[in-house]
Amino acid sequence: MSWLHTWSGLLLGWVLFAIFVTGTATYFRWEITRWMQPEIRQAGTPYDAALAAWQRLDTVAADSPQWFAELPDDRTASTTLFWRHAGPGRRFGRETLDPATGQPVVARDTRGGEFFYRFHFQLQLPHPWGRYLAGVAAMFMFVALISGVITHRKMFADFFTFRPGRAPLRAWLDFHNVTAVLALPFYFMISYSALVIFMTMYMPWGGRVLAGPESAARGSRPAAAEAWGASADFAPMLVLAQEAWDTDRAVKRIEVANRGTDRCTVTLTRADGPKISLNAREQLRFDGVTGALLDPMPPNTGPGTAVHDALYGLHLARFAGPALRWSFFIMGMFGTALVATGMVMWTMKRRARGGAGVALVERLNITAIAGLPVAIAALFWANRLLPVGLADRGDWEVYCFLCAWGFMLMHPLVRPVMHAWHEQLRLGAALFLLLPLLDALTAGTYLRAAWQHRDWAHLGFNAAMLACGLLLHVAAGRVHRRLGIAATATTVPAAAPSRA
Amino acid sequence: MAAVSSPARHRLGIAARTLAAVAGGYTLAAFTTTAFALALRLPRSEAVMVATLPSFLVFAAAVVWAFAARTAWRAWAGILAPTLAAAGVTWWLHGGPGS
Repeated sequence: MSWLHTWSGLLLGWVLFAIFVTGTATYFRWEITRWMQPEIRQAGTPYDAALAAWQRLDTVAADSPQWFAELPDDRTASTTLFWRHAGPGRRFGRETLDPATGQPVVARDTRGGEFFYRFHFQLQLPHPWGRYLAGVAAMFMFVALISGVITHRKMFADFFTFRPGRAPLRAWLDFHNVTAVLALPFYFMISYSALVIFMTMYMPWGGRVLAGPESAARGSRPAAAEAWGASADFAPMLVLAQEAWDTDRAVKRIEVANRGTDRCTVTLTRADGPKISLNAREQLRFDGVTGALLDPMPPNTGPGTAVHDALYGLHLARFAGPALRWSFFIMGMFGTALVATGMVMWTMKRRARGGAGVALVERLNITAIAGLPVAIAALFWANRLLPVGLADRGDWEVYCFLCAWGFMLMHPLVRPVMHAWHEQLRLGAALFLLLPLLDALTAGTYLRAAWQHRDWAHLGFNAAMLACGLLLHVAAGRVHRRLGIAATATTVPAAAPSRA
Repeated sequence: MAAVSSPARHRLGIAARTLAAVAGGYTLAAFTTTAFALALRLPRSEAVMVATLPSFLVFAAAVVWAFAARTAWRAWAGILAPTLAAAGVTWWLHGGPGS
């Protein structure tokens, strides 16, 4: 069982580490976007934004069969529009609006927090391979958790054993166990719900043997010959929503389906509330032709659906208020530390034995653990330094991220292991610690405005970057101390790249 | 592990267990899902939910069993037997010998 834990942990440790880091960041997805697009300030009410979104869609996507709009709330400042292009195929248009003017934003092009969200389960790989790899990683994690609990049956005793001064491996193991036990239910929840989110992709067989009418109905579209029907006026629907929902938790999403046909519907969804299940979202549905309020959709009931929706909702944690979201964030950080300590221990146990395999794992550990923060910092630096008018600017930010990570992959090949650790951690620390300064120099007016308006997304982001930098700085300091010890010792463990 | 006589044999045992865990475990999970989905007689979407949700638990249990069993033979037998049973139930409910 210990064998299973060690190897299943190692094989996907690198993927899991990246998933944990980006997933933890995703808890603050919209706040990250706000920092990466400081030009957009919050203005007006969601209802003004809804009307502006509708007018804009009417201009740019008049012949589209399907519209979506995501409206601003207390966490997001801009409106996002999607629409399906007319004609065959599933092609979509996309635009970001300034809610105040209803015009496309005059802001730097960026992926914002979306990048972390997408990377978390697609890993920057072509579809669908990223999702499959993420699923394999989630399954491995679930197995590593079970086998870890079996391996460390004494773990609740281990939990109170922390021996930082003792042999280094002992201290690492203690830390590994502490981070494991501290948030164990969270890890079980997060890995299993990850599998559940894409379960029809990973385990499609239940649906395959039960071919039913539901699969046949999907994908029906208006015949080309059908005349284009005009849709009802939007403003009265909005007035109804305004009466039902206050601006504290107002309309968040507009969806218009089957436009141009007599089956056209308009669905308004209220902003996420404190309910865990995503199915508990409040909605108003209207007939798109007459504008009449329709009966609510019959809720998809049944214990299976309820469990599924609850797990889905738990994973996304949209229901969480600031305090709970920070708790999730901290547990995500613990998970990151759990994976990292496990990977480091794997090499420490085998370092004395040496060999090409250990040398390779050690170097990949450096790239994954110390290199990823450098790459993320590079993404944020690129966001502030790339020219605002650059074409495909959002893509260039991602190239900077990938290039920085690539350099962090090559760097340990030409440096002794402990030096490579130290240098990458120091670089990451410096990049994060200087980020608020860069923000003040390149986006000073926005920073000042954020301070005046008590915009916690922008200010909190800078504070979080300082905290990340300090964390890396402390880690680098510890490696530096070990370097000092190693230099005085006669043998430098696994530090000779020639052995590889 | 009782029958470790040589490193090569040990490695072969591990390879056999790994295969049982990954391929055997997934197949078992897939067939228990189909068997449940067909046996539950629930509305389609609910049947798929109830049958698929626990499938990853079945998979994980199979993986743990593959490495906990005393010998690789037992590991394989313990996964193969319920897989065949679930496949049989699926075949029977999906149309059976008549189709």
